[in-house]
Amino acid sequence: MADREETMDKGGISRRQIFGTAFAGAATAAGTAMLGSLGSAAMPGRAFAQDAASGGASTSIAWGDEAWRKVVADKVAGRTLKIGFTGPAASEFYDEIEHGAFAQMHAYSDLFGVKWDWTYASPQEHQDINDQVNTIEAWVTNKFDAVLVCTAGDFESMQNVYARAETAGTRVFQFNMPAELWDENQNRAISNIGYNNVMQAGYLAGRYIAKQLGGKGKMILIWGLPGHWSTARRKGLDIALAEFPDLKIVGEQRGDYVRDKALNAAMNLLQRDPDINAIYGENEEMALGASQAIQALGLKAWDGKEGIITIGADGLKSGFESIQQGQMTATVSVGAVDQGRQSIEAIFWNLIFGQVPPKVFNVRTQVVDKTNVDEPLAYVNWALSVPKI
Amino acid sequence: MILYSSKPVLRKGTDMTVISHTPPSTNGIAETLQSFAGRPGAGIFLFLVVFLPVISFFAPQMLQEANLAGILNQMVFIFIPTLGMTIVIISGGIDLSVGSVIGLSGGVAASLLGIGLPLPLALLAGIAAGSAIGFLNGIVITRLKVPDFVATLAMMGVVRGALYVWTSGIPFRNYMDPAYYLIGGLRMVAGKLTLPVFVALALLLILTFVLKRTYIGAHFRATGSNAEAARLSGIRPDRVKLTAYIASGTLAAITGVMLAGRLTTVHPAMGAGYELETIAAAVMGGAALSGGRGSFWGALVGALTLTVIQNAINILNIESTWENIIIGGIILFAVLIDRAAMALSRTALRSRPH
Repeated sequence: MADREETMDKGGISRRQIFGTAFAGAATAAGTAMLGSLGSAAMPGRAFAQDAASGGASTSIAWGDEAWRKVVADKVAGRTLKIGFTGPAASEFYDEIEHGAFAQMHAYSDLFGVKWDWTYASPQEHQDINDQVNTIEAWVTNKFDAVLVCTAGDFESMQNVYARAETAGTRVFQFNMPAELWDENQNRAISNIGYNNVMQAGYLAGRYIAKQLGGKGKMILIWGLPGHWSTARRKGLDIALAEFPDLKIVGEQRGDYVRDKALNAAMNLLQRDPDINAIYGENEEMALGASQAIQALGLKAWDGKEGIITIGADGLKSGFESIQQGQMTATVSVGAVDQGRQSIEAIFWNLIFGQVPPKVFNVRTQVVDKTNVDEPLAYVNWALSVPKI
Repeated sequence: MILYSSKPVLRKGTDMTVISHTPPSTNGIAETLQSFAGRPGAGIFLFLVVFLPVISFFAPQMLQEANLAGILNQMVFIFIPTLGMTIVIISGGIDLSVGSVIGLSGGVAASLLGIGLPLPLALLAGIAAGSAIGFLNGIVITRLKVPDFVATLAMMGVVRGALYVWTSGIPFRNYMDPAYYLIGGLRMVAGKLTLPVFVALALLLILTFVLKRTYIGAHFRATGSNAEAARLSGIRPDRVKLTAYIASGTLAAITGVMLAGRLTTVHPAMGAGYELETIAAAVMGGAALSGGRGSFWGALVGALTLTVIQNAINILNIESTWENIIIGGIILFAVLIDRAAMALSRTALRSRPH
């Protein structure tokens, strides 16, 4: 067992190198400085270094100084940036991303005097691609500076939409997309701010289950609508499970990302096979549905030693609360707030100074369970408390 | 409020043979079978009777007591709105707003409960919201003469949109009350059965009584078969239709408030797609979209069949990409055998010597 732990950790480190954490580290430092500035209701033009110091830095090495701030502010010159934000559906998850964006927008407004004209749109029907493309084209016609897109649309056909936007002078940024599935050079979006669905979600969930169960057991999957997210997460899970031949998938059924269907599917699968050890719901709604099925059937939820593990992926406030209450076992928090913040960072520096962000920028993700839920929950609570733009 | 004339008119219409009670037969089994085959939903009932044992040969867990109870517990959430859909279809309409009403009524109950209203009041308010939308549907259709399909399609969009505007896409949560677990069917009350099953049973018995033993049922069918003829015989088709839509809205709302308890959160997309499932269940149960024909027991068999198929897909672990094809195929097959059974029964009745 000790041997396995060690190999697993080694595997984890070597894989983590893929993600290129150098940029993420710098961004985090920047973010910490801004957290301080946001809390102090700063006005444009106030002493920058002092503010950073109040954020806890005693060495007075802060993110930039007043001279630098002034250069940026002069270049911004009170400009208003017109941004459109569209996800595949309105949901708690996209709301968290949007609030992360609000936080960063407020921070840049305070520091540099930039103004934001922010428009939100999501298709009425879940993953209605046509509706979403129409929205993007309307924004392009209305001369938006940039659009932030997360879509269930086909990669090829979206490239055409992006090409038209580019020609018309609207810059396209993508968020929360499994960019690892496609050729980076074919992707016309200036930057893809998200996370690696294969290695930073599916793989982590599989590894967590394996670790909890000692590499042995039976699990079932409640999966979302067939599409690029479900494909990528499944790929990651398979990579993880390849290391644990004794951990077997004994059932795989559809929950279409909704609790209702996932609850029924989990009940039916548990009815068939009450001695399963883990349920992996591809998103949190479905994992929460599975945890309710366990409760309703009078089965035992995982307590660290025995019971049935339920794990999802998203990192919602409601999911964290469910983990705290001992219902859902764990979730892969995919950095919703950071995706929003990093999207604004990429857009701001690109629009104002023409700086080129990484083509694929992955935020940090983490498996969250009862032992470490406090920090991600506090972080989400903070973001949700930020006023809208 | 008396919504329709209580004059004893149209006790037996042209399309009413389908609900007539089987007279005590002297010819025995053959005639009973013929009469049975003519009932709405008889074909799909036979299908289910054959399908269950066959499928359980491959998955013996299907027929275990716990799984059968599980099927019933899940089925009610399709069955109750199907009752409403059946009423609307019998009276010659269609209600596409069912899924949105389920979402909204659940949202109303959840939000009121969340701000501290007692559970019974919150539930009643949720149900009232559904009745009100049904009433609006009825008014738009009967007074403004908007076709049923269009009016309820528009209402489906408006209500769902309102739910999204209200919630900004973020689910209602943290409203659960201990009793709500019971009402939502997350706790078992009798053996492995849950409270919603008994609610559904009560509704089925009450509505069956109303449809068969009172003139209201005859008025629904008369309006659905031929509204003009019904009007000439003293029925007020507008009032009948209004009643049907209020019933549908109310039954959808009852489902919605129970579903809010079952899911413990109300996502603004809750209930989406239920309109099509209930139409499928009603039609499998022998309801004719041309109006005038349909039965609650047929609706039961229809809802049961849909749930059994989903259960079988899960238990047999059928690859998920096939799911839609299988469900669509079985709906079509079920409706075809229902029509075949009806045609058979008619032929048999016609050839019978008098």
